[in-house]
Amino acid sequence: MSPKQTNLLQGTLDLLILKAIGDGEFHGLGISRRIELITQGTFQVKPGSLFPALHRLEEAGWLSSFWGDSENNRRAKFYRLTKTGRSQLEVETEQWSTIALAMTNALKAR
Amino acid sequence: MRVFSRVSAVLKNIFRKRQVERSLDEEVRAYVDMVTDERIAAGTPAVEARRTALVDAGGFEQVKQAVRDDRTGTNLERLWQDARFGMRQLRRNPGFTVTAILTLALSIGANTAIFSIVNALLLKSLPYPHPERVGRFIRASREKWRRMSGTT
Repeated sequence: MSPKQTNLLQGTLDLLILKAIGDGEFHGLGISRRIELITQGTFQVKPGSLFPALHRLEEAGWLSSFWGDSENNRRAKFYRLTKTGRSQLEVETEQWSTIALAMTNALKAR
Repeated sequence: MRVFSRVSAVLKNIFRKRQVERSLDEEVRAYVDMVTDERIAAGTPAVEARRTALVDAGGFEQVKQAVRDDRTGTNLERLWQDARFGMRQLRRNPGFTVTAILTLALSIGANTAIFSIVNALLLKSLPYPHPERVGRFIRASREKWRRMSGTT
C-alpha cells in the first residue's frame, strides 16, 4: 500500500466505484478498500469524495442501496449496481480503454 | 430512466429531507465506527482510535456537507434559501423596501405609459392595406396652389 496519493482524474472515480462494486454488495468502507485493492494502493478514496460520489451515482440510477449488517455487526448502507449501472460500467470501460490507448500512443509518438 | 431517477431524487431530497438527512448521518457514522473498530482491534486505545478515524475521514460534518453539496436539487434549495433571506431583509428595513417598491412601480409605470403612446403613434402600422399609400387631400385656390407647388 503506497502512501502516494494520486489525484483522480475527473470521471475516473465514478468508473472505479462501479468497477469496484461489480457484482457484489459493499458498504462505503468496503468500496473504498476494494478500490485501494484493485488499484494496488494507487488510489485511496477519502470519504469526503467517496460518499458524494456514491450518492450521485445512486441519484443517477446506477446504484441502489439497502441497509444491512456489516461483518462486525454494524448497521451499514450497502450498495449494488442496478441494471443501468451495469450497462454504464460497460460503456465507460470501453470509453476509458479508447482514451487510455490513445494517450499511451500519443505519449510514445515522436 | 435517468430523468425519472433524477426527478424522484429531487422530490425525495426536498420532501423527505429529515429521512434523507438521518440516513446520511447514520451512513457516515457507520463508516467512522467501522474504521474505529478496526483500529481498536489493532490495539489502538479507543479514544485515540476514534480521533484518528475522524481526522482521516476529514471530519464528520465535512463529509456530510460534501454529500449535501452534490445532491440533485441543491441549487433549487439554495435559491429558495436566498429568496427567503431576501424577504427577511426586506421585512427588517421597511423604509428601504417602500422606497425600492415605489421606485420600481413608478419607473415601470412611466415606461409603460410612454411606450404605449410611442407604440400607438409611431410603431404600429395603420389597420388597413397599403398604409404607406395614404395621403392627404387639401382644397386650395388656384393662386395658393401655384405658390405651394412652386410652378407658374
